[in-house]
Amino acid sequence: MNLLVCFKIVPDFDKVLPSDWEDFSLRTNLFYTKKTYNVFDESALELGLSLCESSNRRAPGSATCTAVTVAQELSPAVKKHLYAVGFDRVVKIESIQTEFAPRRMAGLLREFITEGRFDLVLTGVQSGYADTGLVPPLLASMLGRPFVSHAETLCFYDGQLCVVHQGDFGRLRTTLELPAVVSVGNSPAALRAATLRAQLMAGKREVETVFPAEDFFWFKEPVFFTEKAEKDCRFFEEKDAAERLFAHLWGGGSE
Amino acid sequence: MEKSALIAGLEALLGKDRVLTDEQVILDCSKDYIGFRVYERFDGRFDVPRAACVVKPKNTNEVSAALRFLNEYKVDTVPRTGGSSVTLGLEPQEGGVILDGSDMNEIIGLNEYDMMVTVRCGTPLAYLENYLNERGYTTGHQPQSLPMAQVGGLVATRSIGQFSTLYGGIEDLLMGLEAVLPCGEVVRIKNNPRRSVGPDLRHLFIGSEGMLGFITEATLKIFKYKPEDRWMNAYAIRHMKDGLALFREIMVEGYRPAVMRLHDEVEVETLFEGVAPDEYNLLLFVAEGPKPVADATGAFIDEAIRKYDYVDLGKKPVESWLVTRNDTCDDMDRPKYYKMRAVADTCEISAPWSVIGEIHSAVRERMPEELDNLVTVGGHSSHSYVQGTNIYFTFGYFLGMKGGEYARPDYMHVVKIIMEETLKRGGSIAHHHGSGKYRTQWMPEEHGSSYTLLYKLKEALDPNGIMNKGVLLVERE
Repeated sequence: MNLLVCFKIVPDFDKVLPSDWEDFSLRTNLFYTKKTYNVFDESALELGLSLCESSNRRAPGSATCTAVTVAQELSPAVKKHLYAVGFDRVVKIESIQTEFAPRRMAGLLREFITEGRFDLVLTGVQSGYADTGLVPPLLASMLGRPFVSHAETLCFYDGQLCVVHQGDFGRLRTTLELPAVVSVGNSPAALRAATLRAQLMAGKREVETVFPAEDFFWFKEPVFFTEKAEKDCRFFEEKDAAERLFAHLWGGGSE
Repeated sequence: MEKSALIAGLEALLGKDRVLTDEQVILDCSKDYIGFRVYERFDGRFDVPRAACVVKPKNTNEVSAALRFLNEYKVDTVPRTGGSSVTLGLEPQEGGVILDGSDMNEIIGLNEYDMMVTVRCGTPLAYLENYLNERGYTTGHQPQSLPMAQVGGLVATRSIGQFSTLYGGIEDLLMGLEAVLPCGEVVRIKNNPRRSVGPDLRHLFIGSEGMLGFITEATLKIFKYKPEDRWMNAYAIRHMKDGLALFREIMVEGYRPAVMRLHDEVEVETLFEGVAPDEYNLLLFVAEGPKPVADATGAFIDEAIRKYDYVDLGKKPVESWLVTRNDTCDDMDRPKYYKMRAVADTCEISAPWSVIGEIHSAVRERMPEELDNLVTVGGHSSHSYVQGTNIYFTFGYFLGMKGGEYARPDYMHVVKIIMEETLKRGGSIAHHHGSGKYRTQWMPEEHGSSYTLLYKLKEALDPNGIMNKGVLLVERE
């Protein structure tokens, strides 16, 4: 089984200055914030590794695990960490990382996935940055594969992938035939730490860089604005409170 | 003494509502935030000795009455206030009593002419700082535990704040205090800018970690608070030794930035990934006080750094650090590292300039050689003096599928390396967290021939040995 986990490195939004939130745009320079795994991707990376390890325990050499990102740069620390915790390959699809361009991102990933013949593709359910959550379903659609979103845990049972995931009405357990695409939501899985020794060994390995054959660099940049609507608090008491409230809301009342 | 008789005796003295026997309350008050305890907390088996009760006096008289009683019956007593200890310093003795001053929380008086504020021991520092800031003042004391810490504990542990390079540690800020001796006697040390009347008795309590008495009241210096006049900037610097040399130059030339932080390249990777260029160390500076002084300090720093391989990062990394620097307190009870099956913590030491870099390198070299499961070891200098600085080591190790019971031995192995490499070079094994109960074993070597003075003080002030057994002093047969 070839398993692929898609991930993205994002700014740590907890470190963003209040002044930058007030005037936020995609061009806001957040160089001063720590860069970290997107939280959902981090869980997906751990679930992918664990799944790969359990497969290899049952049948040694039966599974490989690849981590892929779309970016111009990937820091040595991230590369080192991913190799050190056990990924077989760390791949960078060299392109500008864009927000609010899900079709483009899904297209870049599809090309790589198709060529790499990955049986299972894991992603985070959405990026903390853009929050549209459209890349995973678009990717599944482009690949023509079954798709489950908001996964929490994964395991193989009887040759099939069992996914526990959040549905509209609670937690569900779904069984999938591979190939498939699964997006990971609020999973308890946290990406494991790597020992220094493993990091030292991993330090010598390089990121594989893939150049997309076709890159559609078009998207409409959204404009962010801060809603400045003033809040209003009034109390309506006494027997005719409902009538007066109605008049205030819809009748232009001045109370 | 029988537990029931102990509780009944304390209830008779202070009232039933001041003596808490609920199991969860006792556990919560025994909680210490030392790194390896995270496994016990989340595994639901907090393995500490169980105190018989928590006593919450509401005034000095009640502290005095409680201690007189506890001393008479030789009951082990652990004082506490905010509970942010990371050194096992708060953990009680089996069947003992936790004497919790957190209900004694009151600002007694602000003296704007003499520039001092007097508070009771349980006054939260965050509350005090907000109160002072609103009036244009600050204590200048900003430890990372600010959201949790209370004044009594800060004095008792010889605390230091992130702005210490300008304002000093709590020992520089404390004017006077009131304390209750283990026998119940109340003593007061008056507030004066300086006195030449024998040994400075404040130091019997500053850093005593509760083993000589219970601090009930403290008077702290205050300063003008003018954050709008701050100068701040961040730089990346290629070599740690250059950063330390720069710090030394700033101090020796007489400049006093409030904040001077030098994070090594390992910490940049773990705490500030992407902020500084790869392999660079990170410098954060804040200078405050009168604007011309802050600006002159900044101008000197900006000039002095030019002889090194550096990158100017502007002020945003510092602004962000200022806003988020104490967020760790919010994460204390979150299972981040538990979920990763890792342990992460810090350990701080200090030393003169001539050896501090050597200690930093030696610890970083030795630790990976001895711990297969080490994840990270880095450090930063954050409190500087004309004669030297501190290194705050940050470390993490991986437990894998091993149980939480394996967390402690590896933790103590890490600490042992830091202590040994520091002592070997003449440094001090604790810069501001104190001894607690986990560094006590290294105290004889730390103090050398002067260690006997601590025993003599203990014998004089606490002859029954009831107060916070296990901190600072190695138990004698």
